[in-house]
Amino acid sequence: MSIKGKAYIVGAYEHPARHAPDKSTPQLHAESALGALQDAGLSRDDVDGYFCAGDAPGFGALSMADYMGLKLRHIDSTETGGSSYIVHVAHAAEAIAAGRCSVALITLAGRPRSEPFRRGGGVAPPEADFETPYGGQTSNLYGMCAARHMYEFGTTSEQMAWIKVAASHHAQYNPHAMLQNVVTVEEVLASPIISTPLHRLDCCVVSDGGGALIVAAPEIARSLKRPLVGVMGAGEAVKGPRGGELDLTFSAAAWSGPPAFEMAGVTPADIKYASIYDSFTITVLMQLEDLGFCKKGEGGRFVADGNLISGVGKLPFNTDGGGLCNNHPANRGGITKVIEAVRQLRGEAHPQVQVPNCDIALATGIGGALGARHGAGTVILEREG
Amino acid sequence: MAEPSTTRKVPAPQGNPETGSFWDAARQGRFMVGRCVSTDKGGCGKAHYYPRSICPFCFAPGATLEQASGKAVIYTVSVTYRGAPEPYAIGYVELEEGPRIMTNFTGAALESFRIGDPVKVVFIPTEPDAPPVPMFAPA
Ligand SMILES: [Zn+2]
Repeated sequence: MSIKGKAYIVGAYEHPARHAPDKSTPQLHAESALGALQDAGLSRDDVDGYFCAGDAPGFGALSMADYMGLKLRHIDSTETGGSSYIVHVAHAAEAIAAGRCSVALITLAGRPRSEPFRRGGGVAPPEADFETPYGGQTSNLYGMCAARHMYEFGTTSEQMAWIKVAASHHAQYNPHAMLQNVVTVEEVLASPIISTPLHRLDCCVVSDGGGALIVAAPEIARSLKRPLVGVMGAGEAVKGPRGGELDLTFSAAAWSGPPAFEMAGVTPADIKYASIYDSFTITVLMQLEDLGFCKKGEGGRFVADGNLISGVGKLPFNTDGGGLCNNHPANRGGITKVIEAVRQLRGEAHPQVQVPNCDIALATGIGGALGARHGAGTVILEREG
Repeated sequence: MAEPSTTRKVPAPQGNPETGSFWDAARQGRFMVGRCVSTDKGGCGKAHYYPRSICPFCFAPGATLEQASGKAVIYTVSVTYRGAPEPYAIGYVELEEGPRIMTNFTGAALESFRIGDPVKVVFIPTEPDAPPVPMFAPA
């Protein structure tokens, strides 16, 4: 089912907290929901669909739905890690198009700086004995992809560093960003190695916080006083080691992107602003290639020399500072990717980073581990009128 | 240059009814891969890893374990310096039989492992009474 023009993002809210020792995680979800509802001009009682992922405390959506007093016709707790919330936008648009709800709330929140995340018990995943002994952790599961990319395509650490440099140029204008200092390529390369070839400044920040989105049916969106941001196309995909047919040179974005562009009827050249999930610099580089912003293997050259800096380069990205500099609530950056895309389309980004005449934007994300199993979600959004 | 990782505590495999025979073989120093049934029996005949009872490529039932040569080439490697008590080298190797599998590198300085280098399987102890796990050392 095409969702083109069948739903609109009418509310978006990024929680300002970056360190929240004196709030609960459910509270951050609810405060984010309230913020998004106020942004939309809607009330809690208008919500009839709720979407959340693995950061939501409790059993699927049930605990948070009850905590917030939601009366629901539709729930969806699809879990693809940090990309979940981009996937949720698409699922919400599909549910709205199918008549299963009319106002969908999506929330994310977490406090990795303030409380340990407890994974549920249950049965060990099938790969556990064949991977856990080797110490796979987030940094090396991305580092292994960067190492292979450098080997295959000649990508350099200097080129990857440009992605952090660009994010820092944007973060200097965001008073909530955790890292507000503009950094240079040399400073990225001088930061300590976390897992080769990735330096500390190739990595995203760890932050508390949260965010929420409201997706609504066209007639509701048109009744509100906010600019119309339509969902024009979406795609999702999952990718893993595939029984040994592992290929670390591309991400699942190679499969989530094309259907999104096709549904929206646009090409990468039409995208004025892109929110690209930036858990690490390499994550951005590979998604840019996989989405067709440049050819496979040319990502390093594409991102160099400020090409991602708003007002400087050809493809302004992550103008809030992204996960690399602004925040990464609950270690999941998908919702903030959509939020900044909505700000750009509304013309509500910081004036220093606002893209002129920003009418078509993309938000894309990778959740899970790029070097093992991960999920990708891509949405293309358009401002109407 | 970091020294070879010899003291990092390696978590013991837990095993399950499907993979118990893989770990029994590991205790005997035999490194196994999964092998699909042949094409004349409705399978694809290809090797896969980690081993499953139903082939992940063609979904034919009846896959079995087969002893691998233990020869491989490094597909990627990353040396991790943070988030663990001591540095270690994690990567994927491409087995002679085809599958690319996650592993650690041992038996040489951590920074000495390079993509494309030939390596061979070695078994590294985990915990008393638990099976060892396959890792790879310079060939
Ligand atoms: Zn098969």
